[in-house]
Amino acid sequence: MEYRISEGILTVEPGEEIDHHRAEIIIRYTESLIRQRRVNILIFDLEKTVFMDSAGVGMMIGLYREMKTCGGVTGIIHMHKSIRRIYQMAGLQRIICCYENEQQMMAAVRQEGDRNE
Amino acid sequence: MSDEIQLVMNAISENEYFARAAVGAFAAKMDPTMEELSDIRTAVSEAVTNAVVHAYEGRGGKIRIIGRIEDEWLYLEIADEGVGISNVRQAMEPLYTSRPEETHAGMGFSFMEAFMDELQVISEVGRGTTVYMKKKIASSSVARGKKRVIL
Repeated sequence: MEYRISEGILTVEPGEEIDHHRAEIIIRYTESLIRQRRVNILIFDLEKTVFMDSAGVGMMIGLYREMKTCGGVTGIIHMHKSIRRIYQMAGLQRIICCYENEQQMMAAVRQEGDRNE
Repeated sequence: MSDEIQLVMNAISENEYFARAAVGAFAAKMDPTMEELSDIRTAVSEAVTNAVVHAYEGRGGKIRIIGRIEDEWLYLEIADEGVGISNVRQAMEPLYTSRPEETHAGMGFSFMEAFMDELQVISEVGRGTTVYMKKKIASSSVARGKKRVIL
């Protein structure tokens, strides 16, 4: 698990497998970071993630809600095919967008910001 | 081909990984595709997580897993002796969660149903829950062998 914060962007790398055990740890730590530091954008970087079950889905929904209450944006990057099946089956695409990489996500976020101004 | 394993483990969240890894390694004998293996690992993870979180409510207990291979079929039995489920039908509804205040997606049974060919849940309040699942491994060497004979 890895966490990086820079200029209000929190990038979380959950590791190879996201199950209930790992999700609980990630939720606790990420929540505290969102609350203590000014996080505007939360990115789940799934480059190394090859397994995720419904606890991972619950984790993403929970943290998305946490971000939403403070007006923040949540996105996923570098998603593998095996995780994409879970993502679609759970209907996660309706609330958390998935992007190829960070550049693509940041461009979309900026565009959305411009539209709202 | 026929084979069987039995595992008994403590109902702690660290063992969710061990359970799906062990069953995955057992099922690998059937020569499943990556996708089939991922389906099996996900279904096991969901059932074991339910036992850890709901059946024993984090207090711990034992989880018993039986895996059986019969030709191209994989049978799984995941049992606990926890609190049990009073309304199995409701528990199996998509998005139902008994703990909405926590970050549970309510998708555990839906995932088991989606990833396996059959799912049956037998539960008795105060006695525990057993989840029965089966999956046909289409790519298994047995299934392939049969296909060859037919052709």
